[in-house]
Amino acid sequence: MRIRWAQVEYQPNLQRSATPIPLGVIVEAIHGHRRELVLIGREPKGPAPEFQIDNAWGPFREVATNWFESVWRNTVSLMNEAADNELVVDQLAGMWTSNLYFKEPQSLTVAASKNLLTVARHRYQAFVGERIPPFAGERPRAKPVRRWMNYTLQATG
Amino acid sequence: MADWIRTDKWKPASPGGGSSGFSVECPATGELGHGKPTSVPQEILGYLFAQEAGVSVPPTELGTCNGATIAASKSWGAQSQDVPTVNRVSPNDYNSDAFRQALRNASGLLAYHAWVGTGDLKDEHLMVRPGAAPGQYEIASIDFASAFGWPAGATAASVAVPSGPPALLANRDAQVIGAATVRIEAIAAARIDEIVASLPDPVLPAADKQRISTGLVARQGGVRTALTTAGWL
Repeated sequence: MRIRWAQVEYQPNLQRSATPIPLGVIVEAIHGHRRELVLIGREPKGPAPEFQIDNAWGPFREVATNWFESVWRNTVSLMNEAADNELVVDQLAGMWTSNLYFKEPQSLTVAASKNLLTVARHRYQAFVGERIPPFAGERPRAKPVRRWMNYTLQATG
Repeated sequence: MADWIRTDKWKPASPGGGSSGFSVECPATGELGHGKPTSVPQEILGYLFAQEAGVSVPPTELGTCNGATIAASKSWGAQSQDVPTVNRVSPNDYNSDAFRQALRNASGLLAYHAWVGTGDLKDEHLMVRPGAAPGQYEIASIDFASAFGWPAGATAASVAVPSGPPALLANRDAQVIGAATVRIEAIAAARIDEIVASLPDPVLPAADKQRISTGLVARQGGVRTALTTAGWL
């Protein structure tokens, strides 16, 4: 199964660079006409001096404290409009720039039986450096049901 | 010229219209910017003449990156985002009176774009930062790769009203546009020549300097006519 994924990061100060803060990952898989996306992320709650948003307000604050909902709304909107062969992750990466941004999307091939939630969780843990418990929906995919049974007969005379 | 290095500590808006670019950082100052290896003179002049016209464009300067000359466009603010992002992050703020006022305050950019002939004008090319007081916004224009492209011998009649950005077109303020027009008309021809000549010849050859200088002077006289004909003044 080929997937496309990207990391979501936050740069606290676009004028004097600070260490970017890893926030999440988004993973996308297309199975024929079916598209699947998983977004995993974290937002700051309470004091978060590393974000440098103590005096920020409105969109300049919400882009850090409420980014998950904004990005997910955007994702769902793009999913509804995307053609079968268009990658939503790449479109998101082109739209989210400046303080909150998507790093360069990457492609990956995983076993077809892999659950996308598991793939996303592992990517998130590696990027953010925090372990999170498996999601309730994580279980290996059932083997794909084959649509055709092939027959071969050979006769010799 | 300052030396810049490529960085992945932020990500600028996707390059459009052929103006390839990448995120850069100045090791000496820690500043972040958008490094543009193409359309270098257009980006520099886009900033320098904006200063003369009194409209907002983030500081852009000549620099080097890996030995190549670039135009380094500095970030508009420590926190800043483009107009469509404001709408995605906070539709309420986007639709607020304060935001609309900020767009009206920035509508002088329309006169400026008419003068310098910017062709690629999207809302993604409007950057927003917090203003002097909470709840206020300041808006600037970026990406001048498509500007200053008239042929030699351009006249006042060659000035056309810009076709964007949509957010500015929808929030025009005739007084603000008129004031910017007055400032543009007041720039002395000698000053225009001086600014264009300040770019090194390897960056902007003499023939292009001549074309741009004479074109800017001639087009000064066409800005008011074009804006008035369009009903913007």
